Amino acid sequence: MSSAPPAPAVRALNCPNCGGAIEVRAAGYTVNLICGHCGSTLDATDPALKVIQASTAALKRPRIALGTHGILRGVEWQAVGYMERAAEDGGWAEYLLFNPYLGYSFLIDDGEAFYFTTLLDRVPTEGADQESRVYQGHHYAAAEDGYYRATVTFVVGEFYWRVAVGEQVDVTEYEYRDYGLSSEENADERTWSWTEPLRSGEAEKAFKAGPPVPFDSPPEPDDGGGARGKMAAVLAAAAAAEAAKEATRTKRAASAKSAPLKGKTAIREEHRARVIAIWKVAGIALIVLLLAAFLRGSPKLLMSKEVEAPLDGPQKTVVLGPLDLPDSSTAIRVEADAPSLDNSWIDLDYSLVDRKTQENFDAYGAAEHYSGSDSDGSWTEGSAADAASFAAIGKGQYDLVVDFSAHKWDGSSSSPSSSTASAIDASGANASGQPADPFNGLTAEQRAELHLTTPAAPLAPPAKMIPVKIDVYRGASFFSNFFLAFLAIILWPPLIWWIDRKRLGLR
Amino acid sequence: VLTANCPNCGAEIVFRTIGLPVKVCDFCHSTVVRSGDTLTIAGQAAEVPDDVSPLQIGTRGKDGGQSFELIGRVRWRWTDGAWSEWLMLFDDGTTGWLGEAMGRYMLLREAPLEPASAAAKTLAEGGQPAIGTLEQIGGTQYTISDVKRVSCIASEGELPYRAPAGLEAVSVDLMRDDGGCASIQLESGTDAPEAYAGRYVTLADIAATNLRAFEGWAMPKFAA
Repeated sequence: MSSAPPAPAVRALNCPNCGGAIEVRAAGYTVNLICGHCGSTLDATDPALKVIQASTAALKRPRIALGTHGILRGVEWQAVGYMERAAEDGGWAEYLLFNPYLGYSFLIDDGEAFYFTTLLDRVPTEGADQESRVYQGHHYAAAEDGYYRATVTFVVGEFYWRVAVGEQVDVTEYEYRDYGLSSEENADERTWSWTEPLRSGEAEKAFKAGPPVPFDSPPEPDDGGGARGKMAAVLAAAAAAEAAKEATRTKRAASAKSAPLKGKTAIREEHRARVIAIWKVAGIALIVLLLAAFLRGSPKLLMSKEVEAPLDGPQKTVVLGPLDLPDSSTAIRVEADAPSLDNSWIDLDYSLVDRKTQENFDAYGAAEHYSGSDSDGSWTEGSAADAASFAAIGKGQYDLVVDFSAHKWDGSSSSPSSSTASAIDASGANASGQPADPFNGLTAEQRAELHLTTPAAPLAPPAKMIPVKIDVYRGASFFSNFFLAFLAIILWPPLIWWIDRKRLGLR
Repeated sequence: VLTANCPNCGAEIVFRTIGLPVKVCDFCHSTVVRSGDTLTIAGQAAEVPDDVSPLQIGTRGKDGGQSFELIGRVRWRWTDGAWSEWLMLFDDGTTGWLGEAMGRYMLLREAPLEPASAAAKTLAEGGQPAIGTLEQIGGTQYTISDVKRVSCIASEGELPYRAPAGLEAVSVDLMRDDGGCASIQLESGTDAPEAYAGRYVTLADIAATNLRAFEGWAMPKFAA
């Protein structure tokens, strides 16, 4: 394939209002650009960068510097826009993420955790009760207090729509386990998105996030309905469900206490019969469980591969296959071991693809190992081995696609951000003019960008290779389940026996 | 394939398919219109402004079993944004449009409007169809999701029609709940709207290759 030299991805401009250096990172898509120096809103569709709304506000800086690249679950994104939104009783932040080949997604920071949001190109089908939605085969129930009005309270960076402070949408949320499905609606359109929680530290590390910044205060209460912070709503719903369960438990206990007025012997007989019946059921369950375990066999190593990840190099991909799964439901466990990891981590993105249907199942892993020494002596953290599992994979022939990349952890990392300081420094160097500079001709912003995004620039020494061993097992996670099931069955009859005795006041 | 020389600058110009009468010269940006063996210059096309679209003339991809190559582009703008329509030439000689807006892609092929189409009638009378109304295109039902007045900013490559900068049109977007989408366009000064129907796709879905490379960005694995 003949390939032209890479085109510059960043365009350097000056704010027509304050003259500050600004960058356009999604030229052609960006519609509104909010200057990071003065807060003026600029029309990016106008070649002259017309000022839509002038401002002289001193802007706070988001936790993640705009322009930062980060790899989340194996996919590289760049933070290009930042907005804060609020509902009646809470605020949260949203970063607009961009990748020229993938378009847009969102990273949400509710002050406690990060979430990743994917925009959907279709409408999730309505569930049977119309109060729920079905997405990718899972039932998403309407979230309690999951309907509220969200208002933009702060905005900076570039956006593909005419974003403005005060912009409002009505949000409806649905949830399944830790996942969220939400629709945002205004007078013109209704968009759907899917949200997954990120592990603590995942986004912070990927995007070199600074400490949390306080969100702008929520707007005055209006008639926006049962308004709540987006993720706060999810948490509140969970708390409410817990409270409801607790109430039911108390109620049950109360009614049990006032129930029996029969003779003691009759009660004892009833209790005995119940316990015997439960032991019988438990016995049958145990036999079924053991039989299933016997038929499944022990975990089996299906495939093993050793690969090398270039430290701070580009993401690499390896395909392990074919994996033949003869059963209608098989658990797959993928183990990655990188014993030579030191103050670095490896992101592993697994995708199990059915050769016939191309249906795929995703999982994510990370192996990490850090060490150092401080006033308390030397310390180590993390594990150089990692395991990810897929539950209940159907019969068929599969390929396991593994995207992996290794990253050096720099404790005192101060990456060049899109801040003015670094841009001015670089332009100073540029002005002095060095003909030998291979990057001569690039603007200061492009230099900053290059340095930021390609640490392995042509002049850097070749990347260190980290060997990683990837093992794929069949049926492995079954054994932890087996143990849990075994324990549950064994403990159930004595528990019932005890509860029953307590309830009936037997001693 | 038909090779000729640009009547304006003399550079070689290539018509990939006999079916397309317009070619924007790669060198001088003259719009060259072919009629039989005669080439005429129909003004100058504006150059497409720099952007970070991963697509380019020459990008290849697959739709089902058929391969295609992008051979032309028209860039449109409206009050709140801009988007590109890339002309796809399939291996069997047919064409389609790959719409690119807000980082999303719509793969569309020409499809017939119903003879009694309400939207076509409204457009032909100079009106704008209402958002939310249903419309049948190629036997499939869509909902009108957006109607806007648009104007052409620029064009390049081979095209089925002349697209000078400033060309005005009304563009109607339609959607389905299942990822299906469609578009109806009426060029100003005409009264026969054309309809296109298809679906949302990702670059991975269409196994796009020969994409543009950008500094600081890794090429996705399907395109590498």
